[in-house]
Amino acid sequence: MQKYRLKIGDVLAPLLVLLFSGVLFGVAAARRTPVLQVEIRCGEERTVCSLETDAEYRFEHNGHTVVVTVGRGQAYVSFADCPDRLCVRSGKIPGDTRAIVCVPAGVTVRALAEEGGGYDAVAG
Amino acid sequence: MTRSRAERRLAYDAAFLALAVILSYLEALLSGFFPVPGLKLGLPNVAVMAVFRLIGRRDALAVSFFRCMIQFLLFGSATALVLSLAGAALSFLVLLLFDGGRSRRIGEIGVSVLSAFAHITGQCLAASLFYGFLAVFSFYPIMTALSVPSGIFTGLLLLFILRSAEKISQKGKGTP
Repeated sequence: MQKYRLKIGDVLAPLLVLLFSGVLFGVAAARRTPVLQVEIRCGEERTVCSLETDAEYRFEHNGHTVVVTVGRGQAYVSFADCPDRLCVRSGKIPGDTRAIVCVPAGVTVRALAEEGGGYDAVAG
Repeated sequence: MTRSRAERRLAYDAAFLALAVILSYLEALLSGFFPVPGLKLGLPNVAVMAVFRLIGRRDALAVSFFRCMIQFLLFGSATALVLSLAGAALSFLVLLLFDGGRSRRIGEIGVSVLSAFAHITGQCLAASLFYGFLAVFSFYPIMTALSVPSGIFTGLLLLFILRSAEKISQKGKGTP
């Protein structure tokens, strides 16, 4: 049985991926803008809300329940009954992430950089 | 291909498909322990890469596709299936491009890293198209960075499997 020998690609591939990742971190840091509002989507329903107004939004979709908590300059998924609860673990907007997606429930929360719409809630 | 050889190949495909599904489930259980949400080791990809190397390209494609479908039927949603298929497709493309690590310039570890990178890229692209915004790429930089250690880990696992298969084959038990 032959001993494994590293080829040039085995060294270059991880280095290139890390370099690409570093560039992405740099770009993300440079483009970071203050977040004033978040947009919450659940199926056809769209809600835009200010991060300064305390509110709790409860969504029941695709057989799952998701609760999005907004206020004190941040928004996050405070409860979800989906299997992996990745949305709950995604952290808070804008500190940890710019978007939270709950795939099983079909709920997305994303940061909006500018005031848009002027509505607290738009149901469509 | 004789009938017995075809049957043996089918049996190997089925065994690796079962292994891939089990590894998917194991991975889902383990993902809760990682600090970054959604981070996975790419364990099912080890089974796909092993099939690619030991049996053939078409078999690997079949295992990869049916693994996504079984995962969808057992635990997933339609959206999760789309994301899973996108990741698997890009990952498989990397395997094809570098012949599963048999090329002169890149081996199993390098291909495994690129495959992990392609998988997360495919999933993020599909998610951004599906949800219609780029903010789903929020975790992309950290995920790409973490695809390096996870790719190295799966590459080492693949090497272990390939060497074990080689040992078995030398003892005369045979692989397809």
